[in-house]
Amino acid sequence: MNNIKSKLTNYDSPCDSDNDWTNSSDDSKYSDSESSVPEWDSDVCEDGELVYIKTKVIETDNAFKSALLENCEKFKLRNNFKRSSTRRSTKGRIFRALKVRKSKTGDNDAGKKRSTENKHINSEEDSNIIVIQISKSMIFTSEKNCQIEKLFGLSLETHSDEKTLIVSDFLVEAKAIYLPNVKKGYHLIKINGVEINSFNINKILDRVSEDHCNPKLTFKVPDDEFYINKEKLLSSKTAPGNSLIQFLRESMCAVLYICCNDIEYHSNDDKGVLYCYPRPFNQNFLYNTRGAYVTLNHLTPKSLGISEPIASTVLYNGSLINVAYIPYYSDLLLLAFPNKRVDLFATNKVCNNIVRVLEFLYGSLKYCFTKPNNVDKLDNLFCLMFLTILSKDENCRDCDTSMGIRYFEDLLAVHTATLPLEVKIQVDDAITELEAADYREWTDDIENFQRLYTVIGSCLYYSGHLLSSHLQNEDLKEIHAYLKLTGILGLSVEKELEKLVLWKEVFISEHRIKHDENEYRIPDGRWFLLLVGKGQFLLATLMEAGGCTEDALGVTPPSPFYVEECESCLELLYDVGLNRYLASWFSSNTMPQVETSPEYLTKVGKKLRDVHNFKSDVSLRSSTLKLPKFQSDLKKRHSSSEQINVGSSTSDGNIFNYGSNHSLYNQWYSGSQKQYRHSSLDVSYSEDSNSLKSNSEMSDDRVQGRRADREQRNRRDSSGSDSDWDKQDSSRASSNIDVSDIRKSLLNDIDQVTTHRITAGDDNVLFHFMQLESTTGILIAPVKNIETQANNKLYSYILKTFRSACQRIHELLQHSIRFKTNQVSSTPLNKILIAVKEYGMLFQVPQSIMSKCGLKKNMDPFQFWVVGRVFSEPEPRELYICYHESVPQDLCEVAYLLSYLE
Amino acid sequence: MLLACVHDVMVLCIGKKDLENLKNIDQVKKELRQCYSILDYLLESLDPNTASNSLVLDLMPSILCPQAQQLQQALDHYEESVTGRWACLSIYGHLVATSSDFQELDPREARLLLLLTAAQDGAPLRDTPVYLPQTSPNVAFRAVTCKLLADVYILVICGATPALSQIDEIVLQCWEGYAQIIKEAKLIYPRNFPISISFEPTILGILAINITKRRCVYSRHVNVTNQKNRSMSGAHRTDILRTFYVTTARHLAPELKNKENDDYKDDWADGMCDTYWSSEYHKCHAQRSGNLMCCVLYASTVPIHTMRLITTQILQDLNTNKEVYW
Repeated sequence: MNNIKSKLTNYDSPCDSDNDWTNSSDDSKYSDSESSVPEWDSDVCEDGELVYIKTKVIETDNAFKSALLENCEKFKLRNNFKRSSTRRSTKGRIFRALKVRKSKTGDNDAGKKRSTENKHINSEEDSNIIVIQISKSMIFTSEKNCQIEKLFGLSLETHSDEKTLIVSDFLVEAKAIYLPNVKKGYHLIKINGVEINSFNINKILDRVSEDHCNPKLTFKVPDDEFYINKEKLLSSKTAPGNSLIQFLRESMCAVLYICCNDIEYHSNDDKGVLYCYPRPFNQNFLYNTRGAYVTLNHLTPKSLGISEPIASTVLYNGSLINVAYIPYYSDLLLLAFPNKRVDLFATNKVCNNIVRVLEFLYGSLKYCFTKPNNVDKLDNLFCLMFLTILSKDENCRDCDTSMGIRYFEDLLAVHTATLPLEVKIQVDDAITELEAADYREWTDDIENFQRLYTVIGSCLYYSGHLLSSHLQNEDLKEIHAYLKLTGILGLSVEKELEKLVLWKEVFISEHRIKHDENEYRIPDGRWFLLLVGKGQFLLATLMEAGGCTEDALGVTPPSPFYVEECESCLELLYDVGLNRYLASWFSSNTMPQVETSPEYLTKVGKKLRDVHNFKSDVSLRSSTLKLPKFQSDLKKRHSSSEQINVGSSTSDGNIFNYGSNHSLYNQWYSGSQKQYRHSSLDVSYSEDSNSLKSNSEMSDDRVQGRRADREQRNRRDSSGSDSDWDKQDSSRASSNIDVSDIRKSLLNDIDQVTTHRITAGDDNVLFHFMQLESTTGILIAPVKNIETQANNKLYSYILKTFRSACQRIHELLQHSIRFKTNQVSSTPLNKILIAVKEYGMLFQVPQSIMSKCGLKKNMDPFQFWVVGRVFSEPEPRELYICYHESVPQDLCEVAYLLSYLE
Repeated sequence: MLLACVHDVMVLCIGKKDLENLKNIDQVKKELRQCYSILDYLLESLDPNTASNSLVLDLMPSILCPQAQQLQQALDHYEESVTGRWACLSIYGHLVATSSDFQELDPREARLLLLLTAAQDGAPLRDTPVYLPQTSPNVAFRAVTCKLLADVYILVICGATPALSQIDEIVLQCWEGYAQIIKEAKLIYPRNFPISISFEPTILGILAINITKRRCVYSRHVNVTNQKNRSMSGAHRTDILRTFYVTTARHLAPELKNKENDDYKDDWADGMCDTYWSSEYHKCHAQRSGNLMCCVLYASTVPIHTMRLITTQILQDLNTNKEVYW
């Protein structure tokens, strides 16, 4: 509980009042000198760029999971933050912002002075040390009868220096304790505060076993292994360390930029090589073999008369390596990835994205590699990108699929969450408000101040899913590629961000590809990407300086005002409870519903389900019988919603498996149903009880906003005034009606979500789907963690097959898409393949997997289709679905139904 | 794959040792000249634009005919008389019958030998030294091809002993009585399936594959009577089927993959049993049952579940029909 509470205060802190700016920054050294310096200020680089990341340290995974749903309810009550109040408090900040900016551009001394006041973020250093306390009463069964395993459930091995102890494995029972905080390869440095090594461990273990206190283990994250603190890397400005380079070199990732025209070829010491990473040159795989690629790149178009080479696969030291060619005028960018991590398909996609990122950040490839004093930054960027690409499959190490297959959908486009219309409106509304940049409220003499930036678009992510984008297609793709490859998006999924501010000058694609004849010419200005993160939200905003705003000259650091605007936009989303809503929405699996327990579709499964249904019916009856008692319980208690939550969740145990007609019994789904049930419980409660008092209490806690108003008005009409109503009125008066109240009520209404089904037939036979619009770069699919939600072997198998099959289908359908989009093609296309619109495969689940799911008796084979279809009008759209073979589906129909959900 | 095939052809002609050592490049070049005809044939049949007899590189085009069993006996007998091994009979470059030991050959070698017969220029009797890339890359065998009728060849691998003239006599002895049977078998072409197997009128073409024997049967004139439905040329139909097989249906049979291509990500296709395409003009469907696989080209009006039914029927038919002899 404490844990949650501390988190709650964190939520409140950043924007609560003006003072919090200084409170939240750990170091108050200079808070007296300048009251409104944001905490990230000292991290601003000399060139004005900023990466500031602060994440919450999550104690244990379990606490985190339960906290997500629980605390939102309470959070809403405690948080009395109002956007308007921030607005008011930010009054006059623009002056300061201007002042800061001027002082920065005017003389760099001020900025330098500030940065000499070395401020460190404590959490960053702390995160290297992990302390875990183990209950003494726990005794682990050890096969090897080893004391360490018995006491701690760990097995250790000694490091190559023969002193340090390294965690080599966990016992199964102990995994829950250690993971995910402690991983294999971490160093065990202390027990009960005493430093240990391989020499004294036995002595200390003896002492521990005699001791009655719970032993406390201290682990250290090895800094030289590839357990890299990505946050650190993201915000560091220097080149990454040697050990990291060594790791990259061993993993066979490399990048090389060669200038192929004659003049530079001879003038350069390295024969035209402008950039190479990882270094040193002579150990770089690409550098050593570069001649071959250059020759191939020259020869293939000329001698074979076909397109320029796209990729080669090289066998090097027994492992396959994919080398991608990216020509840029006469220059050549080469990228190499190990085939076992990044297959050929993925290589092409990843390289496209890398080029996107480079162009987005630097304007052009050439400039990117020739910009003076840029090597360190590039090193950092490539290091980050390679690590993100390589570390992707760390989560699924047990399944041996290569990364390209597993993350097929990630490679293609932005994973977008389908939201109900009401919620979508909320989100769009919040972003639009930010984009509108209507600042009349807080500055009176609006004529005298020109704006610094115009917001030209923004997009919002939640936990790696795009919620809404108001960006141009190309911009979205580029921003997404940047977020994805630098691992920022991954960070927002894995950890809860306390605060993330990122500021970068970028070059938008419209600017890069200049169309003079275009009547909507964009101004000659500069563009900046402002990224603000909080919790699992990430808000990326693209800003333009130039045109109607003030021209940005010289070094441009982020303006605190705009950062704050974005923060308040996120805050607004928290305020309407979107975080709470999304957490339950993401686990609700309703839009459209996907069958996550495939075994129920077999004959045996159906019987199982019927038994299940029957049982839950019984339990439901018993729970309704219990209800009066439960009510009386409630009355005794306080009216705080916390208590109600506790009470209802106990009753949820009874109706836990009441399946309605969705036939979904997995834990996760009932998690969301809990909410649904919960509210219906409330309704029945208020109907049953005649006492007005409890009624009003209920509405006080549960029903807020417009609906509350409406209901209260109705009641007042009928019942007349009462002392309770006065209380109501006062509370309403204090929460002066503003826009966010209306929003709240809207979100509350959506608690009762209806499930949608897009397949034909009585049963839901849909296992998975994926819709890809390649022009907009948007992909619609069930939430990413659907597999963990399902927690079902058969389902995982189906999904794995689906992904790999989709890749096949996608590759085949590309022929048709390419033909339709550009009629004239340089490469001859297979006439037969371009006509293919639909491609389906029927799979049969092998017996081994079926028996794992406890379906041994089941004799009829379990078969499912994976079908992909391309719709070329109005713009190419690919739809992939995976469904059980029992009901034939028409993909056009499915696509039609799906489009209604958007 | 083509590359591997070309390499095999080169080895076939001059032997692996010579090819790798390259002592005398000019001589090697000169020797390589004899495989030009095979390579030409290979390239020609792969070109989608000409495609007179399209072929799939990893399969041997064959004809299923009821006479195959009798022909096999004849081949066995012939093989014995010339004291050779591995004999086969081909009509229009399609494998019709083999001697019983023909399967001992590596499928790639068998394919090569078939190529050799297919690329014949019509000489009545000829022997060629061949190096078998897998079994004996360094020691040459003697491949004797003999023209029985127009476009009908028999091939046998034998040692040095029976001189060509002797073989000529043996051929006469062995095959005199079979002329009628061969003529009958020749009539099956180009339908390539025994008459007793009938097909639905919606079927435009069929490609049946015996997976273990690496043999395939094309048929594009499935319904000889239905001459109206000529919207698609026959060659185009086989081409569609071939493309369908190469890009898609091949995944139904993981054992057809050649081992050299590191199959790191092919485990995904395990358990796939059906696959289909549907395009604007036609539909293709492939199904596998045991050792047989069937790719069928349908008219675009046929719904998918009907396709499945029909294909299953055909497969059953092929499995049970007594006249089908691979």
